Amino acid sequence: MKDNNKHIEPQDPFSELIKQKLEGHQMPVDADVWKQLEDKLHKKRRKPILWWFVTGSAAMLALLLSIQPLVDEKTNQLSFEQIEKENIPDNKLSEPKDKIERKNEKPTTVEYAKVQEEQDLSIKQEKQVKTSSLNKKLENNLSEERQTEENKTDNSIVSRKTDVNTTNSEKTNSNEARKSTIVEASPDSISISKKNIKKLDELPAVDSKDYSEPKPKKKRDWLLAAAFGSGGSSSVASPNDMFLAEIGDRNLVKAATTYTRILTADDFSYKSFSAPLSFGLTVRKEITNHLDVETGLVYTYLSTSFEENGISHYDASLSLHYLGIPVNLIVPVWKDKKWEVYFSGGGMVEKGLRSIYIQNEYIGSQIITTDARTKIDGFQWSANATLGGMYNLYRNIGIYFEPKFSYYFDNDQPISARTDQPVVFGLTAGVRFKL
Amino acid sequence: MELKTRTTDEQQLIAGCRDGKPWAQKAIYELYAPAMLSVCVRYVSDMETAKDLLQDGFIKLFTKIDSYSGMGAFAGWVRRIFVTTTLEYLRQTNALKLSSSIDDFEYFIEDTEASVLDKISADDVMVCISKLSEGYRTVFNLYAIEGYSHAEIAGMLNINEVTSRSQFMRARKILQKSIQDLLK
Repeated sequence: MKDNNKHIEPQDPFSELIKQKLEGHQMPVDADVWKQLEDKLHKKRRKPILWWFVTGSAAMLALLLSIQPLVDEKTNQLSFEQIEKENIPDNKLSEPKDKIERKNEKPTTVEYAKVQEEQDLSIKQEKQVKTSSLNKKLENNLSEERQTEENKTDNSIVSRKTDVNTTNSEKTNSNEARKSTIVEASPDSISISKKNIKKLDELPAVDSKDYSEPKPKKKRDWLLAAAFGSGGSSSVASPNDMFLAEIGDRNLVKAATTYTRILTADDFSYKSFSAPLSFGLTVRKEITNHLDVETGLVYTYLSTSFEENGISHYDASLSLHYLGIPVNLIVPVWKDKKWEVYFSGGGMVEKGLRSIYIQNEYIGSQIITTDARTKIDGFQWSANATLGGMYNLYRNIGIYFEPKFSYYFDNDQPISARTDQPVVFGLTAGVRFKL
Repeated sequence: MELKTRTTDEQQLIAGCRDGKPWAQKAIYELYAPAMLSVCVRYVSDMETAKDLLQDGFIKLFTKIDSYSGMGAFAGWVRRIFVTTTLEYLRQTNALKLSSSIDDFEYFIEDTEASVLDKISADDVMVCISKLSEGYRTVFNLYAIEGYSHAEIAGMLNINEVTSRSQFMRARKILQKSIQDLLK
């Protein structure tokens, strides 16, 4: 092609007119063309957000895996002991008096199920049976002792061994499990001294409940959560953007611009609102059995890109940084050992930390770039509701998912996905730790 | 509030592209993509194919930018890359089999006046061009808009000069008729 665009042969008038018509013709290019091109140009580079996501996920997985051996170690120790006891034949459970007395110096745990999962139920049943039989036996023995104590000096055979054993796993698995348990070591009778009998005599009427420690006041758990959330992106292509006029201020930068030209939202025919990205740390406190309260700090990043490919060609990006304080009330809906489903509702107030606006105007072979960094006035208020689910990975760690509906009130905030679509459906996921 | 304005000229962008700077590549893309998409559409008419060619053209541009000597307009060099890219595509798809019929449009059409062309938009002209067969369209684009001579076109398309000339004449007549039909 000749740079001066001149033919050797003279151009006919029709062709000349066509050429004039089309010489500077431009067509709008979809944003995805550049994205695809960028991927081809920089195949080896990964987007930072993807890198952070992968790194974060790997770190979380590593954390969970590193905790698992600690949990398993405790569980395995207990299980091993339990299995050993299980394998002891019943007749071997009658041990010499001195051996048992030595054992009685320390609380011991006997007769658990082989498998931890199946253990609770069988133990409870076993305990109930044994406790009631023990109680009856004790009652009989005590009355016999009372009668015979005056007349006889020989030792009565009474067995009583109460072992208050609160295992860690029981503590967390259920409220029942938190209660102290009575474990009977041997059905065989064991001789005890008169002194001990007197002590028994001082005990109130024998009842299964009396073998339990006083019921502790229910501990209200604190839960700490780290979460990542997103949702509510959209793209808008509209020549005049009339439907967005209700949003309010069309200025992208709230500042006097006397020495440069900052475009308004209406100058762009294409807008792309990226999904808000949030990261938060929250704490949740159980107030009652049926109500928790949650609060914390949530950082949110909002990004919008603008483009105009008509007669004028320019683009811009607006990045907003927010820090918010959520307050939510949580009502448990359903719960078992592993799963917990809950309803959560509440609100959040957010303060804009920074607005960063970058605008490029493509004029001839030049690019005029304007960079404006401003504060964000006012507060963003919102209300939200979610039906969340949590899966307990371990005793103190669970992962949770919260499909969330949020409504963002019109608080005269800069243009973002929230001003474009005040009702946002998003997904939050995170890890929750019981403290 | 912090407010800064800076101007980046073409030479800075070219230097940035030579250094492989992504910001410079993005800027060059933003400067030329709309016009180059128009060039691609003018040759292949199908928008999706044109977008693919646009990407291929820019990859070629960024990888061969060292071959730009700095002499002559950068815009002309860029345009040449995209025209070459589309011609390569047309060659690969055997779309440049030129019509040998000379009876298609032997009827006389008066030269279209400037006043007539003023009534239609550039987009309308693009539509009319897209209706031409690929052979006619290619020769018309190369001769009437890009400014190549028939001798050059003959060399580029591996045809003889007379064929190029006759193809252009037929293409022009079809286009004139198409524009007149548009105004009816």
